[in-house]
Amino acid sequence: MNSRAASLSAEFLDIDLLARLPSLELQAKFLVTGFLAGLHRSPFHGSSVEFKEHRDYQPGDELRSVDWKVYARTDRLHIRLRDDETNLTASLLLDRSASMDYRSHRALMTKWDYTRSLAAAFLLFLQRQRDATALGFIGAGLEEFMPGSARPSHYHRLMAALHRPAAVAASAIPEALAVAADRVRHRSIVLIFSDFYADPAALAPALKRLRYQDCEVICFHILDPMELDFDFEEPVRLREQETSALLTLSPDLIRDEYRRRVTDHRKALEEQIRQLDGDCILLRTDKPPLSALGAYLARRNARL
Amino acid sequence: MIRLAFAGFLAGGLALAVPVLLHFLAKRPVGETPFPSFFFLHATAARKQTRNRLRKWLVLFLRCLVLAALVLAFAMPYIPRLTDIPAEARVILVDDSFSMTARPYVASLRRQALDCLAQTAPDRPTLAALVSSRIRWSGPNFSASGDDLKNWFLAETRPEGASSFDGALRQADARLRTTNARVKRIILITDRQALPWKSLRWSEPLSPGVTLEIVTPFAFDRELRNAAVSSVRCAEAEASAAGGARELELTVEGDNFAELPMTGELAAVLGRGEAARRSVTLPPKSRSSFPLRLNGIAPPPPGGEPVAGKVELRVPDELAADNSAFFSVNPETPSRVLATPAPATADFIGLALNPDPGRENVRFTPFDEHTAVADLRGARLLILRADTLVTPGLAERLDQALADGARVLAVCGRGNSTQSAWLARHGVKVNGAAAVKTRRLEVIDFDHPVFAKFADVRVGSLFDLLFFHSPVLTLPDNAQVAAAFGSDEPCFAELPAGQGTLFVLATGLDRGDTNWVANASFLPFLRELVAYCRTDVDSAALVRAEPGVRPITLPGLLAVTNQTDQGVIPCAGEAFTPPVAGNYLCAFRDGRRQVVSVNRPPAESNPTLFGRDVDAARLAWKGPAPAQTVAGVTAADPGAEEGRRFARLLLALALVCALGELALSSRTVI
Repeated sequence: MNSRAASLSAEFLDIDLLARLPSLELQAKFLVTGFLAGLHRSPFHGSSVEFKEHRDYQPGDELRSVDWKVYARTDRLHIRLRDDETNLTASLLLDRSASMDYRSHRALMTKWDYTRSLAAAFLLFLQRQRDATALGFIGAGLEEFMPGSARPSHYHRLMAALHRPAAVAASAIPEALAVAADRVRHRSIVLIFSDFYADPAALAPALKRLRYQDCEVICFHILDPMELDFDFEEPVRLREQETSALLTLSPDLIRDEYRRRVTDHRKALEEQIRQLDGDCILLRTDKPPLSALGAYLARRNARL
Repeated sequence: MIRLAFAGFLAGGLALAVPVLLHFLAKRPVGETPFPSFFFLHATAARKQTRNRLRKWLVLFLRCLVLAALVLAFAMPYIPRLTDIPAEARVILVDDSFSMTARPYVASLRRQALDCLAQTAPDRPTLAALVSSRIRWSGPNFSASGDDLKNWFLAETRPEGASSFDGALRQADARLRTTNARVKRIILITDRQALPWKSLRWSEPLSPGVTLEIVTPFAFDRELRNAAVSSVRCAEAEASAAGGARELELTVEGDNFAELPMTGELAAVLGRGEAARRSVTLPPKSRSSFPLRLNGIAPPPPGGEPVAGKVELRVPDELAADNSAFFSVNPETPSRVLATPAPATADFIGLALNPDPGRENVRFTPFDEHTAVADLRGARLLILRADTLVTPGLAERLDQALADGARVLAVCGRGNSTQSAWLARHGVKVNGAAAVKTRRLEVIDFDHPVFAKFADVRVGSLFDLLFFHSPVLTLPDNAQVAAAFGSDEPCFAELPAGQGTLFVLATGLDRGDTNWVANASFLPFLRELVAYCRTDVDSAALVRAEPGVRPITLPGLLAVTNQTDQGVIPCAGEAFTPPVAGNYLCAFRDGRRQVVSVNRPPAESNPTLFGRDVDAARLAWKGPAPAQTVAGVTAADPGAEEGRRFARLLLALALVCALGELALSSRTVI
């Protein structure tokens, strides 16, 4: 991931502002713009294959891809496109389980809203990159999967699909990923947005299968700060969103062990994905998700 | 059974309801807080909550324990001591005077005492005491064990000396006053001696509720048949032959208190052997005197070993304890008297102090202005003769000696201006010119130690003495006149001067001044004056000392040994208290050795019956009965200290529990 770009963007990218933006489109533009503002200062390096066509320069494009001869003739910046670039497909798998519809007092949006904003940003970004984009929702299984396409109409269809709310039931991530593995295009980049309330070992078969299909897997582990820190002060009566089960407990009594379990789970998940040459990025809903786009871009360039 | 000193504080136990109510009405979380998933909570919370539930109950228990401990600490629980048992409390006083060893009833009295002590029980606590010259208690507290008291009685009883019941009864009364027993009894086990009752204060009754019961466990229809050695005096016997050795002679006085004459032997025992023996017959109801010469035993020379022994009266009486008396003859240390140089004429002072050139009764030496002050201070008496020229140097020496505690006799003649000037410095005015007529003594203070023995008509009268030219003395207010010619004409007086004493004699000691110097009373006067000036202990007084009553103080005392059993007697400084009658060999720092003879008081030997004369009811409380004390603990009750100790423990427990509660409650919820 391009951490430098992310940190520079953070200077003017604010999670408060992101949360106040009224529509997914604006949120997506906000994120992409913020991300690209830092990206200009940080060149990405890609590989060069056979030329296919020119397109207009977009912020974020590599300067080495600029066709300087055309610039000399026309005084306009054009990018030399290669075949592979136009064939790259990114598949976004969004966990819309009930647990994603959680927002604590420390967060400004629910995990689902956060995921949607991030997914919209990805859609916008990918559309500008002219990458094909697929979208799927993870629920009790793979609820809906829209295959990849780079057409503008497809982009709008996907953006419309993001407006659906979170589900009211638990999700079955391993099963959903197993189904998605059959649906995603080979040699694509698979972006999974979830809180990953599942045993990392149970995810392994589906993730391996994706890897066998030569897919790059990037997991965005989206958690509310309260889920990470468990900073309840008073005894609480908790209701699980996925099952409506109740549990009365003392946060002081279990906080340390809870944190340790969360950390262990994260490490196990990261290790599981790292073994498959993927990335697992923790995103807190009280921080802007700048690292997400950077991670994708790094993977994309590495694949090209 | 545990009792509470302040049971009212138990009402504070209602506070226990507070933590219980708080426990059950504990603030529960209001409403439900959504949480994404219990994925991480189920495994954690299930185990923790079980532990938490246990902690929660433990916290409740600790809170209740804190409050209970505080309530109990204020209520002050204690295990009631025996004084607190309300059934009956007894104080048993056992007469332990030597008259209790009389053969007809010693066994009966001991059995009765043991029976009384054996009746001790937890509901009948008992405190016992042996009453003789001193009171020995069985312990500080009442006891519930009859066996302990019996063992104590058998080990401690040692009939000795005389007894007085007043102190014992008052102390027993005070002990019973601190108890809450419904019945409080003093049981006095004694023989029929009248002496112990002599000093009883009948006008001061016992405390309310305390009854006195006198136990004389035998029907005694006749007086005790008893004889006793009442005194032993030692004197030097006349030589048995011309030029023979000096020998000691004892004068033994014996009493026969019985109605019948008593015949037996009188023996003097020195060490382990008899030194003398003779047959005696004691007439009924009378005192007899018997000489007993110790053949071959001479008075100890100065610096020699003292002679000490015991006189035994071997007669068939019924009380043997008083049939012996201890005696001792200690080597005399010659008194040291210094006098200014004698005149050329007869030295009547020297003759009076040392009448026999062969014996040195008094070390009589002259002194003057060149004599060291230490020598003057060490002398028993300094005599300033009438015609001595008191030079400034001599006056200074005399003043220094007086300041250091010396005793000076100033003999005032017809005219000695230097002496008058020196006496004037001590407030004594001597008017020699006024002394012209012949006078006689008119007032003599026979209570003064110097003249005490002159009260005996056998000594001879001092009122016949003539004084021809006695000066007129004017004395300061602090002077004590022992003999006077008239109301305002002192003849012999003493007054304090510095640390010492100044004696003033208003007559010269020559034939021209008085005929006293040729009178037989002059020698005893000087001897008594010298004896009065002694500072060490009169051994004769020690012979009369009663065992176990009060300490005997001997200047320079180093160690004391009982000659009978060779036991070492502990000394407190320069004093020791003889526990029993006997001869006590005292060693002094200057190397001297002296025997102090301690004998039982003779009065206890007289078996006068008291019989029906003593009415124990006379000591009973006659006034209105005060309100009964209900509270459990009194200041003197040992249970009070027990209660305080319990309270401290409970407070410590409360503190520990509070700390535990703090440690647990911070980790425990709902």
